[in-house]
Amino acid sequence: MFCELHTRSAFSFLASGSQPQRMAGRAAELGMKAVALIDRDTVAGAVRFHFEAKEWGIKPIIGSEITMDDGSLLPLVPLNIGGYRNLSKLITTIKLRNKKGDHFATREDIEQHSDGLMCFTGGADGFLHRSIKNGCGQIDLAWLNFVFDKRLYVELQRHHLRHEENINQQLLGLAHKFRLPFFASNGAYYADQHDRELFDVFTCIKNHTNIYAAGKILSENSERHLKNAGQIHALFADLPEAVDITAEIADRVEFSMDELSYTFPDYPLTPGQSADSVLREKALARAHERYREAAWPIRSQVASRLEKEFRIIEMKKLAGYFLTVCDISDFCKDNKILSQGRGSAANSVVCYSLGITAVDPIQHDLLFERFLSEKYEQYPDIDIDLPSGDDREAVIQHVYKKYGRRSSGMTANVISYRGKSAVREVGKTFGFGTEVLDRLSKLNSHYEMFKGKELEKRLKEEGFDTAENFRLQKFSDLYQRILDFPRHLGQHSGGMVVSLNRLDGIVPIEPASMADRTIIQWDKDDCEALKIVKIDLLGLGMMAVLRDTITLIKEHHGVDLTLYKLPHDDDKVYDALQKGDTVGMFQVESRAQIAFLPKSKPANFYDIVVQVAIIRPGPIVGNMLHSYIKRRQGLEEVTYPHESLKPILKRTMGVPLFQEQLLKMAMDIAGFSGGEADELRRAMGFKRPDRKMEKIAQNLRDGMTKKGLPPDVQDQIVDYTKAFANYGFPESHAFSFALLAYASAYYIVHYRACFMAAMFNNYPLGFYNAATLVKDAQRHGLHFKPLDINKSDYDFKVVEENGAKKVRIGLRFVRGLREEIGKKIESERRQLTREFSDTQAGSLPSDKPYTSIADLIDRVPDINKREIRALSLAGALNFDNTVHRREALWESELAIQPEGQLFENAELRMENTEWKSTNSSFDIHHPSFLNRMEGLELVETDLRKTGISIGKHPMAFLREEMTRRGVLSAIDTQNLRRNEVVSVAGAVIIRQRPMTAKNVVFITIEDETGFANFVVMPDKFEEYRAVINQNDFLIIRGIFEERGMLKALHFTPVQDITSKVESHNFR
Amino acid sequence: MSKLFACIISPRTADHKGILVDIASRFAHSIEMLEDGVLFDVSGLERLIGRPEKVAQKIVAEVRRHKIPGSVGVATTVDSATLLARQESETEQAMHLADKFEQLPLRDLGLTQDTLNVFEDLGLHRVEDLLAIPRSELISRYGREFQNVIDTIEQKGTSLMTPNIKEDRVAWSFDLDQSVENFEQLIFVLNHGLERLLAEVNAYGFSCEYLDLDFKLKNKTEKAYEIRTSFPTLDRAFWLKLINLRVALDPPEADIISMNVVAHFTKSRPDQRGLYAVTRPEPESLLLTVNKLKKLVGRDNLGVPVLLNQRVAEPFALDADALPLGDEKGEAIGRKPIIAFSHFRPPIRAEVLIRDRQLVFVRTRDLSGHILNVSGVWKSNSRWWDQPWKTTEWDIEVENYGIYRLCKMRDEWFLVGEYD
Repeated sequence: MFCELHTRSAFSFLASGSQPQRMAGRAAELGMKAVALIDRDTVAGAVRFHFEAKEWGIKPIIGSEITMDDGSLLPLVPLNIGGYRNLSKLITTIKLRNKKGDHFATREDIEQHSDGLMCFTGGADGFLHRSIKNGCGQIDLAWLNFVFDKRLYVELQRHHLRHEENINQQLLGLAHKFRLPFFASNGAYYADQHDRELFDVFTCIKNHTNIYAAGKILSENSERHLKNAGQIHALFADLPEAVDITAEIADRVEFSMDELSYTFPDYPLTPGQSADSVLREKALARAHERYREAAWPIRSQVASRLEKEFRIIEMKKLAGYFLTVCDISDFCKDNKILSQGRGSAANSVVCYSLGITAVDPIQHDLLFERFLSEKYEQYPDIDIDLPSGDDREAVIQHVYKKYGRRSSGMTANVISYRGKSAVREVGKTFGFGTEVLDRLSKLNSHYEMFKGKELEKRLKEEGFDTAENFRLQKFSDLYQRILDFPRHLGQHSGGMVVSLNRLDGIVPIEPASMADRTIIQWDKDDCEALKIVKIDLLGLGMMAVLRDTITLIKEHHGVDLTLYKLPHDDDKVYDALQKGDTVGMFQVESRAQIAFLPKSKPANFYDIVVQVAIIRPGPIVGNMLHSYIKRRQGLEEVTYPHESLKPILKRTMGVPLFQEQLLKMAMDIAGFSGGEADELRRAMGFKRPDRKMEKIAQNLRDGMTKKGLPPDVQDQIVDYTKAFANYGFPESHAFSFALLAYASAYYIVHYRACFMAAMFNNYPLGFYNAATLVKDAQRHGLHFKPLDINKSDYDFKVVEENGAKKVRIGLRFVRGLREEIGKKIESERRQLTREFSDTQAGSLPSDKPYTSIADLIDRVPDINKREIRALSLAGALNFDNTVHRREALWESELAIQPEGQLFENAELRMENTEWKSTNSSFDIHHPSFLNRMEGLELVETDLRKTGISIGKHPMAFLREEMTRRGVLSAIDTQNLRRNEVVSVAGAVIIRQRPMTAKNVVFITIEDETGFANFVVMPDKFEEYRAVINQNDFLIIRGIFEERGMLKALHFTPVQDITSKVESHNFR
Repeated sequence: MSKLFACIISPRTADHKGILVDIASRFAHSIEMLEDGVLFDVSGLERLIGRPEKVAQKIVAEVRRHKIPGSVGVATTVDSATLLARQESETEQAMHLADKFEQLPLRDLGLTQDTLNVFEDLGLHRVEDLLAIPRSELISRYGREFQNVIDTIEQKGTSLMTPNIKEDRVAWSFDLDQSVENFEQLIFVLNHGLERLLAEVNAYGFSCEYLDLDFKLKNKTEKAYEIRTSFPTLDRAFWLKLINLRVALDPPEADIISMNVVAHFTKSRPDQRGLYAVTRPEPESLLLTVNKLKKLVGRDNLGVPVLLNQRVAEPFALDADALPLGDEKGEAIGRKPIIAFSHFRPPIRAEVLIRDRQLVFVRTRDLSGHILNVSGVWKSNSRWWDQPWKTTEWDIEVENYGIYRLCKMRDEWFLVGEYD
């Protein structure tokens, strides 16, 4: 029996040609009873390898090759849990000691962490090989033998290469000398022989070369694949004992990943307390406060709901987890950080009482079982939304500080080779030049990742002929094969893992790219598989916008209008929603939402909850969206599969939308417990039918039979359940988002200036680019004040002029201006004019603002010439319109001369120019050779330098010409008759091809009057692909189909406009 | 009389260098070859042809006659003529006359991209825009060195033309009255031609290490030979022998109807001969010997072995044109012993007897014997991306003979080499 004890997977990054799962699968196919994965300085692939091997019924052995200080590798394999902890700590120690990518272990590190670890001498890049080459093999083997007493094995590898035999004979000699056991291995870098090609590609990527220039760094042959016992016996026919011992070594390994017992941190308790008692005490006290003003029917249910939840939390020993999340939530409140729990946690009264979530589950009849039940094997998931940026970072650092750097870390995110990165990397390997790479890369837009013959088709379209070109065929083949291979470990968007004991005893921790952040080597799926609790601290741009909006409203309107005090029955909000006038609003601003809102006409808060949940791929594919709209519009009768389902589905007009509804159905009509119902939801959600699903479906039928439901209805409900399980959305999650959606709508409708200022200060976020947001706000009557170095702050701000609230553009939008310089410009001015403000216009003293560009350079000396030029062109240096932008730029060219040249030229300048750039005065000569920027040129400069323009829309300058050519404006498309054919022109702000739309592309164009939406059928898109993708402004001829939508027939680029538009492109 | 310069810029200068020089030489004696065209001094032509516009039109007509794409500029300074010609020279369109200097874009003035961007933002796009700005304003912003730009746009550039077109080769050709089947029949004629040619080279004060020999053949094709030596020589007999050997190695496929020989100039050999006794073979003799060997064994089977940094079946290739070069080192270095290995080219076909999956006996045309020891099998393969290859080899010790490398290719056995 042979067991391969030394394999590498793709998680060794650029050093293997196979995924860990494939390694495990192939080992099983070859009849091995155990296989070891020993990746380089990582166990990142261990979890998926472990579970795959178990699935195949073979023993997975986990280890890691440790990089030594001389660059060689020392393979270590844990024999027991203690050994694994040592290995994990060893990797953590070496990774955290130096900056990312510069890690290595010293002999001292190995000695300190050697307990419970078995050591192999490794292959050609192994520690002992290096020692033998350096002439100190005997000394180093003696050291290894001392450190790993009776746990050291000499490894022999044969790959049909002549030069290996020399070192193998030396290794054998040393093994005999030290009486050490030796074993045979193939040092597999890939599962199948075929994968050698991918391995060679990775070698090229690693060495920044291409396959033609790589020369001898490539493999000599394709023998580093997993081999069966027969092949290995043939290779080691002279040393059969080396093969036979592999099974014994595998048997020696007692450690299994299943043993890893992760424990959530204990909550600090005083004597006599338990976590359960503290949680109960806290929740009850806070529930009293939280429900103080609730109506009696709600208040009356609080105690019983809490008791029910306490019972399950106690049973599952989760009190510590709740208290920890509560602690984070409290930290946010104490530090005035807006936070809100999302996801299924909103179903919990305990979470609501503790202040973790904002939705009252009793009032909204939310089902606790969706969050937690007796049968629920996984830990519950509590996600907390935080304002993106500093606030979120403060919370993350709080967790690090509280639990320690070695007991907490961010979850990893495995970054894989996807469309563009795969094209680029494989293309480079095949020696394609930059131009070809760009062409190949552009072929692969955001919305499509080539599969199968698609790439060859695209290549042909672009003039490459794969049939004739072997290189392109190979490129195409390897492009397909590299997809989904891991590239590196990144950070998860917010998942943090904390542990009672040292987390690095469970999983290695390594530095993240961001300062002060560390990541664990497992991603969220690995954590879930090993039942490791993750707390998601998610950054949500809209939370930051709402936070800033609330502050601005308080400042400028004197109203303390916090998020959770907003009345949910505001007519203006529903009016805007019903019209689809929702640009800037959270979750309801997308093109699809805007198209759907005028049909669904939300009239109350729950309608918004539905709105948030229904524009999702699931309901669209499941045809639930259309059914709901028709019922909403009264075009279809509201029916139920069975009368008993009416109470459950009534809220969504008989259309099942929420996972909670599925659970309730199972509980009410089949008598399932909460846990069983949730199990049903999970089982039905699996793509592959299995025995478990069949069993649960049978239980459902049995339950329904008991309740007297006829078989035909049972069939209908089972089918319904299966279909529904795939697209159902958690109602609690929809509630949490609906709260934010409503708040954003409320603030926009009532406090647009404050909201828009906050929005721009947290840009980029949302669906639209900043230019579109400005134009939409302007159409709603909001006025923007231009950039002015003496009036603009770094941030956008609200100013009052003639009783109206306006938004002053902030310096943060000036492209190329560093944040610190922008803030310095503001602080330097404020330092002098602190007693004045923008709201006291006209009272600025002449000596406090910047008087000239020279004055600016004098007071902000770190500013560079690019920044001054950018400010000039953005219009920030017009000094009360005493100069125009080009004059400012011309003057800045003089002012930014290096000092030496200034002195050198001073005399000349004084003689030849009347310009005087002094601190005391700003007397400017207006050179006749500089023309003032006007009209479209000015708008284009604004867009180029700031991304926004408060002047006319570019299309407004062409309106006369467009009208003459019979091209309509966007607003005119709202009053068309069906089948009317018209042309509309505008800036393309959206190009979208939703996965649910069967290759149909949606395009939205914008002009000075608003938006026009087009649907582009696949044949038309193919016909006009280049015109659509390569032009920012288009004239589109289309046929009017229904309100707000034209079917595109023909596309023409708009000439004469060179503005760049940032479109929401195929995302 | 004021100076006048003309410039032809063509995107296909590399392909039409000779024609462009020919055109220039019809108008001027002083010619400078540029990377993207040709510049020449046409001062004085006004008296022959007329106004500068007329001169330009003449040049344009001449260039058009040769169907070369590009543009022509004529101006009173070198810079202006070059700038004029460079506009729109990227297109493959027919010739056109560029005579609007003030309309020229600023991008060709050699400004930094940074300054160009600023000018673009200032709305300054053409030479005329810059001309409208007082020069002191420009100098105060962009320094004294901007004076050169100002001079250029004011057409006061002081750049000088550096004529660089000189003879670098001479040619001799001979059209035969009747086609000749055998090259050796032409030796006498060629001998005469070489004598004239090499004398002409000598007259220029140069020597020659590179000849182009072209035959026009009866089947309307051409046969070209490039004959190089690693040293310059005017030894006619030597060149003739070399040509003879080379043509014999790769004779023309049809009867010869004409021949053309071009001798390229090179500096004369600096080494002195005759003062001391020759301590090494004369290079001429070595080269002739090498070429004689090539004639005997074939061009592909003689040359300098060059180690390849590639995963290929044979780790070296033969460079037929290279001669052993490099520094000789006589110092003994204490290196590990390396087993020498001789490659058999071509490999020697063998018969191998296998018993119980063991190699036991081998027979070739030169040896036969029991296989005493075997190591392997050794496998190599690579170049899966273009020319896949693989080898399967054993090292065998043959009784009474030695140690050989045995290779199996498509079910046939070969001895590919021997260990020393």
